[in-house]
Amino acid sequence: MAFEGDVKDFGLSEIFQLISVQQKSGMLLVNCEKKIAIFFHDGMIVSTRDRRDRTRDPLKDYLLRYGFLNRSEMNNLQQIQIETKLDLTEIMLSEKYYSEDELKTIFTDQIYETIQEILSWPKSHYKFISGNKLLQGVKNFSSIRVDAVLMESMRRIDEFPRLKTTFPSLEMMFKNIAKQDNKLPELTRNEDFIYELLEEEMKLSELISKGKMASFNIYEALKGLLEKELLQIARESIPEIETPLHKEKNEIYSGKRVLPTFATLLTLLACLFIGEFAIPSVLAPGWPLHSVQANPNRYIASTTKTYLAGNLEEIKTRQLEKKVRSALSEYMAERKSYPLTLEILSIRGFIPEETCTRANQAGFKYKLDKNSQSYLLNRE
Amino acid sequence: MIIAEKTTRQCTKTDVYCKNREKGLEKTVSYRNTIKFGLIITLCLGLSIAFCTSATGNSIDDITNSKIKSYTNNALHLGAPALNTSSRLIYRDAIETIKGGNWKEGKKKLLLARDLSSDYSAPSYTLARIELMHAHPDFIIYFLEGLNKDTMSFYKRNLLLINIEITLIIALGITLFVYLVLLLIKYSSKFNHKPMEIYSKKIAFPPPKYLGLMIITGLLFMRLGLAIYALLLIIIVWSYISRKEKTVLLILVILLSFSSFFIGKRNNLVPGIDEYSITRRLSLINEKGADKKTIQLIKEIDSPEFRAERNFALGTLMYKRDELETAKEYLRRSVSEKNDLESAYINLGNIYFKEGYFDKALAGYRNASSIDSTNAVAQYNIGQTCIKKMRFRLSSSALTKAGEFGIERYKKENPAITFGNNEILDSGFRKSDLRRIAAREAKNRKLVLIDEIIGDWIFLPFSYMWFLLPISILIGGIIKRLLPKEWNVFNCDNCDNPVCPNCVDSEHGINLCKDCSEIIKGLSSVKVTEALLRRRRQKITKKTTSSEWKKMLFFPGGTHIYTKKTFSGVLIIFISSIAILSLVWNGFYFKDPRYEFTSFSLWKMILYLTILVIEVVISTRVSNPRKNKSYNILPQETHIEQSGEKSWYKTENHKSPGVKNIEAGKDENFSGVFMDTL
Repeated sequence: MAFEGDVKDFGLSEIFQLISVQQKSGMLLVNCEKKIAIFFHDGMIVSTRDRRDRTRDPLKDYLLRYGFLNRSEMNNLQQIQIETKLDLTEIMLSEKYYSEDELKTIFTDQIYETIQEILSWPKSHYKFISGNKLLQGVKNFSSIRVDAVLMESMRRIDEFPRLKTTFPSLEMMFKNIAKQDNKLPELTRNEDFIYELLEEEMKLSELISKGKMASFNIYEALKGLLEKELLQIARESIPEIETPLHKEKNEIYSGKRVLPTFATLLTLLACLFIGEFAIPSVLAPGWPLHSVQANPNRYIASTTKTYLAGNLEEIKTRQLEKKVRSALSEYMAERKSYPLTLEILSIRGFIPEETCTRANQAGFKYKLDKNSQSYLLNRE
Repeated sequence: MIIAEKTTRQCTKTDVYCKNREKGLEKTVSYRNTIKFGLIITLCLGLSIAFCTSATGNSIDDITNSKIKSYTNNALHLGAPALNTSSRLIYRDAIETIKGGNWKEGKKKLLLARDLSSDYSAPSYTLARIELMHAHPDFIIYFLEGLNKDTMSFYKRNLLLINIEITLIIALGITLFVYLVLLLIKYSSKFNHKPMEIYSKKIAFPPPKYLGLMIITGLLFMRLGLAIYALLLIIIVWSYISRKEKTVLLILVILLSFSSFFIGKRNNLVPGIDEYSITRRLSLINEKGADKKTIQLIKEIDSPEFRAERNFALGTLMYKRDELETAKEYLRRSVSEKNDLESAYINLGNIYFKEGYFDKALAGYRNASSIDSTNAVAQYNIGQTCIKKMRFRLSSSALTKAGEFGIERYKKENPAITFGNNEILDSGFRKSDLRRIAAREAKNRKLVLIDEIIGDWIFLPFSYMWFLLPISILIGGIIKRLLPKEWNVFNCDNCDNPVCPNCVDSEHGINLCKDCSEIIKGLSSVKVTEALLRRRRQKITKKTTSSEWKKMLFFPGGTHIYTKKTFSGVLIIFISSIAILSLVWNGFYFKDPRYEFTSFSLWKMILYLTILVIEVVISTRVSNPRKNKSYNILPQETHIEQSGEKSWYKTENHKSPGVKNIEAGKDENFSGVFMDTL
């Protein structure tokens, strides 16, 4: 069984609550900027790692981004993973990178961050697929209550813009302020860790990549330290001015100038000459037809007299003649005599004026006999 | 009796049962009466509708203009099978009457005009328009009747076929050319990249960006014709276009090659529309009476190949003029030269019938019937002759057969026979005969009509296209295989600029062009993606896309091709091409010279313009793609080397493991590589 919809119709938080209240097990797929899968077991969130998509593991991203593992460590882990086909968490435990408790914390934080990301998407599409079978093979370190995740995520979404106004740039430099008597006020675990990290002056971006915690926690810890006067901003970053990147480049080409210009002009002139004189003299436009007209015996099969029009123009002229003759018949039928001139036909509306002009241009000569009962229409 | 007795006996048993039974019988009787009554009513209604509907055709007496009436009588006297001139004149009169406000009288005249001609469709279409304006469903009947008239006679059918053939082939050619030009625009940056790279290393002026323009100008100056340009375009674009686009291109090439091979070499339809061809002269006996001009035109035919047909035509015309001896002579000659001309036997039989030799007449008709056992006229005439001989059973059987073989259809094709008292019917050339005559005559014509129409534009003969087009595809394919890897141009993963193996930067796990690479040089890892996204925003959404998009709007369907809706795009181009051709030609290429009132039709123009406007609107409503592209990028310090291999050779959309996915294009919300997550 599955249900799906858009966030604009039914919010994700409501969907989370619904799954929680109903104590459903299954997978919620949320699709917007990217596709994220959230696994539920009896209404509790157990993982956000989609085992079907190994190239996009949110835990791996999280570990790299916040400095839990460095590049070479991740390389090693991946190498092992390729050889053993084990899950990343299992390798980390067996290789003793982190203990199970530590991994549980990392895992939980990563879920918090992923859910927070999903909730911040203004538009997304979700699909919930129910069933315990979907949970097979999903590595699970903790089951998190939906309401706890929702409340924490909402808090972070609300508070983060304010934290960003306090620390607007990633280029900001921080250093801790050492207390002379070494008596520090009461610090949270995160604040304590950051305080120690800031023994040396460090950029905010660097701090994030070494902080081993979600960026929100780092910002929060920094704010706490600042309020407790244990942090000094070593150097304010210069506000970024968005420099136009597509500014007109004064491209300076190192090559030649005069000779190619002449060559180009000459080539174009040559092309013009070829088009104007050379090709028409060898093969004029419509050359297949002209060659036929120039040498009709070659193309007309038999020696018998042909009544077919030799070319398209002739067909059109014959049609024109037919048109005039039809109009003359009509005129005769209506008026019991033929008209004095062809122009009368167009004046009386039997043929358009244009037809009359074309007939004259085609060299048709109209001659009426004395009693107006017959006519001659010949071509010059 | 037994049943009645049983019933009576049962009735005596129980009164209740008996009463019920009686009631049942009464009910049955009343049902039967109701059904009978219903049937009678239906029959009465049917009969009244049948008899109230005008079953009698219009007669010559309905023609009010005495001069036209006299002309029509004269035409009938000369045995004209249809009264096209009278029909046209009455139609003109009807239009004047309708313009004067008397549409009922006008409608009457239109009906008369309709009945006089077999292939003049204008009265039927006007009637359809009138009925439509009065919200009467009869407009469908009149409209279908008009369509039927447009295909009824040999001449009309031929004209329609040749026009459809010309329009479809030219529209197909335009579609192919426009499609190729659109593909050239779409992939222009890719075609230009490598030549520009080589050019810019050696030459500073003229600027490399004008290289493509200079080549195009040179080629246009040479005026090589659309065919050669199309072949060149196929060779150029084949290496770069997608599989779907190749499929569409192949379909177009196959269709055009097919047309070039089969239709391009066929001139069978030309004699049918050439006013003085033998076919057309002979076909006049199906349209006109035996006037001097027609006889003269047929007498002029001196080709021995068509002597039998000529004699038949002359015999028929003489028969219509009541010059029976001359007619008999011509027809005898005709059947002696060609003994399978069943129409000649029929008309010969008709002469004997008029002379009172009914046995000879019957022999003639039976000869015709033995050649074509489904000849309706032969059967009809047999029926009529049998009446004369008082052999009614045979007559009835023959007339029934005539009905089955389509005598009504014959009468529709020859409407004038309903205005006279024709005991027997004469026969002209059948459409199949005329088609055969046209095919024989067309053998003498070596020029291809389509070449004559578009020869000046395409320069190469259309009849060469069947092998030139596939060869160009073959050359394109060979060039693609022979191109060195350095010429393999693909797109920058960030800004979609073209890059080649020589200029690509794949340090960061994605393929970046020179400009994108320059921008991120020396930046800290967290700033890389921000810078790339900013460049993408500025480069693509503001500049490149809009200019390419505008270029693709030059022809309806271009935007569809740009957004990979190739099939619908090509279909729109094809329909637009037909609309443009119809607009240029004001309908079809060849028009019926007998029925052309004016050289310009506003309604037609509005129709074609409407089609074009709809196509343009459909084309512009395709949304401009923002070119959103998700890719993964690693900050420099966390980038994982893939055992020294460069990723761009593997795949175009390289995905590095364990990294941040960034959706490009959502620029306004962007606030940095890690901020984006929050």
